[in-house]
Amino acid sequence: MGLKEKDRICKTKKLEGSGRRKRGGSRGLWFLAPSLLGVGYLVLLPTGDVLRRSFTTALSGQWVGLANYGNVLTNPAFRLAAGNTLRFLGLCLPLLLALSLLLALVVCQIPRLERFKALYLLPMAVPAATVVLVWRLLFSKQGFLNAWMGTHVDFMGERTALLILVGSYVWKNLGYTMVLWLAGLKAIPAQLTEAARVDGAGRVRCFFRITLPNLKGSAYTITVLSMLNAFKSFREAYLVSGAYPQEDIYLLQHLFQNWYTKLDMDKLAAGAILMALALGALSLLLQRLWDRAGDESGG
Amino acid sequence: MAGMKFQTRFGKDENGNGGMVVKKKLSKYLLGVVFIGLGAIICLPVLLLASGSLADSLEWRQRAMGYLRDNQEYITWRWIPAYPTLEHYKRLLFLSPAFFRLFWNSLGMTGSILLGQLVVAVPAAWAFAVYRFRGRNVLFSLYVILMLLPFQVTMLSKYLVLQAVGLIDTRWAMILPAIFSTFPVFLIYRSFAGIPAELLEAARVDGAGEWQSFIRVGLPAAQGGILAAMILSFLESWNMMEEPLTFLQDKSLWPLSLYLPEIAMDQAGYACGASVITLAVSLFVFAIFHDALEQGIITSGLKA
Amino acid sequence: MKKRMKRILALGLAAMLLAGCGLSGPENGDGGQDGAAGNMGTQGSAVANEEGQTVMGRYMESPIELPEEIEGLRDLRLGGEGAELIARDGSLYRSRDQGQSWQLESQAPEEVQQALNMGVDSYYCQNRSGSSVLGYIQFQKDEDGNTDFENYSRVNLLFLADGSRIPLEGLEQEYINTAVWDEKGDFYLGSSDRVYRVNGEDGSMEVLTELSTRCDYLTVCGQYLMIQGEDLQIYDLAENRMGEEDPALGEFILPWLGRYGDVGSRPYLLYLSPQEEKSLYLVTDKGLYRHTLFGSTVEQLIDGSLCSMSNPLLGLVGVLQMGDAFWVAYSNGDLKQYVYDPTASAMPENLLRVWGLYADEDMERVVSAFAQSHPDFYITYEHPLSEDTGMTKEDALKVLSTELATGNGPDVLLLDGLSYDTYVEKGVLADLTAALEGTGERYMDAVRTSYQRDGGQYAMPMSMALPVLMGARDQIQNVTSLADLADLAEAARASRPQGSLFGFGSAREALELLAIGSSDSWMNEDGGINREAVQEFLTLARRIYDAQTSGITLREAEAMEEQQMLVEGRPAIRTDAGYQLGNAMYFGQPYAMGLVNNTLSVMGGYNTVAVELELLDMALVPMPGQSPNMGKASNILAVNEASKVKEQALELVAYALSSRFCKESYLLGGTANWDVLEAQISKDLEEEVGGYMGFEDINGKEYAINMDIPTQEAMETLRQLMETCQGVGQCDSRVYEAVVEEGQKALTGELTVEEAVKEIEKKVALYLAE
Repeated sequence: MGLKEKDRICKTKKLEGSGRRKRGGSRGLWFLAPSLLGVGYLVLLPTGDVLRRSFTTALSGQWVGLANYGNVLTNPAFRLAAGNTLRFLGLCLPLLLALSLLLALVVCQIPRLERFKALYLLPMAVPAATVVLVWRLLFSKQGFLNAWMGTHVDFMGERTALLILVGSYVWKNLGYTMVLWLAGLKAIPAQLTEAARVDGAGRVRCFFRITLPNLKGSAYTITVLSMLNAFKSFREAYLVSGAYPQEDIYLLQHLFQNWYTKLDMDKLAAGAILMALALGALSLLLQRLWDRAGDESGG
Repeated sequence: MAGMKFQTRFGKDENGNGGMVVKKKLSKYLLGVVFIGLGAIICLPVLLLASGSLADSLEWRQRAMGYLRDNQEYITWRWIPAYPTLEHYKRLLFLSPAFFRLFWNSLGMTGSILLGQLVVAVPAAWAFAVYRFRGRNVLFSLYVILMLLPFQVTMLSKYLVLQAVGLIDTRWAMILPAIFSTFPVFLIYRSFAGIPAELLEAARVDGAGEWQSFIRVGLPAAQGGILAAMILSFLESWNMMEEPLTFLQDKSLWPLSLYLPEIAMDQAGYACGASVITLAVSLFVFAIFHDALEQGIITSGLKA
Repeated sequence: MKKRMKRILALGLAAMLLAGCGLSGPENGDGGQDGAAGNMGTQGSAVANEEGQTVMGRYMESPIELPEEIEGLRDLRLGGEGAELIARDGSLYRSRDQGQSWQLESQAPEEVQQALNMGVDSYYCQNRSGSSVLGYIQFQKDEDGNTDFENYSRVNLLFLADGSRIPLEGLEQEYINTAVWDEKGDFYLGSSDRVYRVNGEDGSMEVLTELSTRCDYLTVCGQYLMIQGEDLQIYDLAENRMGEEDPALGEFILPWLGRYGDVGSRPYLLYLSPQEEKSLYLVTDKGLYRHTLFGSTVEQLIDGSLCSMSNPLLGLVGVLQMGDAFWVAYSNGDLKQYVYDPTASAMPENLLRVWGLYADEDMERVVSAFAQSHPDFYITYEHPLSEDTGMTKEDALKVLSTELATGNGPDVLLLDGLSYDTYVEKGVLADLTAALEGTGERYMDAVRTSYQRDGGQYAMPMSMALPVLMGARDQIQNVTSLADLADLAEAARASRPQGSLFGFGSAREALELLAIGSSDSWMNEDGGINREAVQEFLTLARRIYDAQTSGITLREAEAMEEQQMLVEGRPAIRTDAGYQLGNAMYFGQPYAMGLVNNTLSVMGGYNTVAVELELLDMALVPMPGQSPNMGKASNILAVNEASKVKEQALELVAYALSSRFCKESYLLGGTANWDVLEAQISKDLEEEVGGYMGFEDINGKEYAINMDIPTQEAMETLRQLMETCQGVGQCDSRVYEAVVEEGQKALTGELTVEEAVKEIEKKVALYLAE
């Protein structure tokens, strides 16, 4: 429904002619100006500096063209880290999105559960340093999990490390993402589903035909936010296992940080630009999905 | 007990529908139990911290002896400490001036950031949501990418930029970059985008200028979304670690989040206490703005 | 309704919290820039305040000349006629003219002088009327008149002003740590769990109060007796009961409590001003502070890093307020006055930063001494990981990288724990060649070569230690390789089925001890890991570990675990030879291995090792291993190429490495400079000092060893050992950690050696690939 409305804004504007658009556009810039100025200086300029650095040597600043990119792309550590980061995102995003959507659907069905949502929101406020303490209590060689199983496995040094990282990410973000989905669900007009039900659509069919397409819009925001939060998991991974964790959870940020401490600013810059490009492509892809979703529900 | 209550209430609810199948009722009941059970499990670690903060240092040492010595002994746990004590809280709240200085630093810093974001990010989000200017899409995508880039990659360049204007080692080195973070713009954008076009159109017809539409129509409609973004920003700034580490050499300016970033197990009780207090502040914000948060998330809209 | 309740609750809670903060927050927070707790340093605003103006006004230090015969000081106080000093031998000096001249007023009785000059006193103090209390340790003599170090008694005496001697009865079983007098003439003695009051006229005694913790120091502040042990307790002498607490002061001095000064001096002083109501002054190595008794603020008046207070060599003896000035007496016999100069800038204008991951005492001394000779420089020594901030090593390195890359780096760098080659490759280090050659000192060539890269020398260590194996001479002298050591271990186990052989209990300890002679062979020339070397090391280490653990008794294992030091909450091992020999004595081990510091001072470095070796009838040989004769360096000094005060930074480095510094100060770590070793020897010969060192074995039997000037033989042994040194081991810390971490599993049998080597390679591969 919201999408329809937005489309209508565009349509009205089109009908009224381009004069309004132009005027509005330049006026809009006044609202944007302060942010643009600050972002320009404090975010864009540094990013530009990183771009420049990606073509020069580490500290002396001599021009080397694309050599840094070549170095980075053939660097086994970079490949491993990029692969791990992708795998981590590929594991934790679908898991979180699906699980939180499921919970949101449950709450939607049983409104009385609303008040218990707070339980799920609590972990979000736990600082990373403390999360690490809990990890140690649970998963260290002498931790509760080992005590329970009667073993002495260093879960954070084995392949299970990835599972722990994913689990802690889901644990932390489940409540928040659920509330986001819930908002999306509530925004779907009840008439829509009811009409479908009247037409004889089953529960499952109704979900896939009506609910899901209508959620596609929210999905963009939720996915991007979840990705942002996934990148924040690094701090926990780092605090618990240091600069060189178990191989599976060696993420791009570990590598970036290690390069930084070794003063390899050239590689860092090139790696960062590559990451930005990948993120740009990903966000474009998501936006496309979103726009198509808009077209579908709008048309 | 709680379950019983639950069930009877459900019964009442569905009286109106009459003739509901018992099976359905039961499945709903089960779902509810599972939901609450899962929630309780999710809260367990927090309880762990709360309980741990009441055990004294000696007890922690004993519990974690195996971990400290790195031998085969398991860490033991008692939900109720053998000798419950408030020593950690006492030490933190009344005996430790450092803690308080850091607490006030954090509070001041976070407050300034939120205020700044209100002034800067809200209008920017409005501009993105309402106006169709040249380069809007590109700019917005750029905002999203900048938001997603990890801090480490631009850290050095940010340092240089801040140094150029003499802000390194001042509070502003934390506050300004956070104010101009693109994250709140992204989040608030959604709630402005959800405002029905008719409403804006009507305001325009009634002679409202751009500024007035923003104040009179935009802000009230997106109130909740803005608050939601603010709460997230609060958590973000409250738990900020890398920025102060890099930009603040003067430790008297450090925020609370750096107080105990890494915790040795023999100090765990103290650390638990510190984190419970840190957590408590976040919870106040949650509690006070809980409704707003929810409404906010709903408007942010995820209607679009 | 419910919602409102919730909100009210939340608001109430918030208000409570904020009120709580208001209560003690801002007051403490605003109490000066010192950052009320010891762990909050100031240095950001070192040179100017926020507006960029130079803040004016600072206490300036100047010496007060004392008569030549005063060698050391015990007390400084204000008497009716002027300032009074108690010298090391108990003599009282008085100045009636603000320190211009000093007169000897009285001397202590013969017995007191003797005990004090020998330094066997455990406490001594003299009250205003001239009475004094003294406690000392007396060893018994056997029939031949030799000292029997296993038997001693504690003597506690009261001397009246007229010289009469009254033994204090009933203290035989007590170990009195400290004594203090009050204006009435009474004395207070603090022991491990009590405070006694001694009548200064007749020696009658009573227990003033029982303590739950030990008492390290006592101070009388007007009507209050400050009892300092693990915490600060205040006894009200006027009311004759424990007084109220002073939480702000207690919290503030917490970092200093439990520290000890040398004989007769203290790590900090408390002093109640006679001029101002309830003004308590506190002197520490960080500076001089003012605190209103029972108030909530502690404010810094003098920054310790700008004067002698920060010199870790100096103990504090006494402080007094003389008009507007402060006088502070130091344990070396210096008396300094501090006068406020409103025209001096609050901070010197030039900043020179010394940076290292961890604090080091030798370096602190260098910084302090260098600061004395460069009054126009504010010299800071930053060591992020030694502070109580919980910063990780990576965090610290990240901050360092940022500073170096933006041209704001520290001027002098200590590369301990950092990768030397990384910094050389990036060109951030300055070439030290010219600065070192200009000094004419004879540095150890092997060490210098170890740090040379492409013709330049970018670092030089201040301290050196060499790995050795110790045991009966005939058994160890042919042990030259790790394989020999493994054979020796197995043979020893065969002939001695029970009891510890070497000083390690866990696999980690075994690896870390054995690594001191081998770690340098673990890497190839190209920086990769040397597979064969690591495999051989682990195979042999496992044999040695098995030999040790197969016969170790449960009691020994438990004792070893209890001894374990915890660093950052994890077990750590001490590899110094002196400590390891102490272990050998404790467990009755036939062998020990460890690092010998290249120093020869009476109480540290090689001398301790030599004395212990003699006692145990052991000898030492260079540690057998895969990379024999490679020393371990610490305090590896380097200068930032981009430093704005490069000249002074180079000067500081040269000074730290010089024999001049060694002559002026006291060296704890070793040296890589022959001249320093010579200087030390001649210094030791000049200063006739000595002392005792106590040992204990697992059965609780105690020994005391007489420590004296190093013997010619000891000097020669060390010189020979130093000559065998072929360089400095520079095993990358990542490789080292990987070998120790994964190697443990090979030793305990969790993995085979081959598997462990594979794991190590895998772990390091990532690091090398970056």
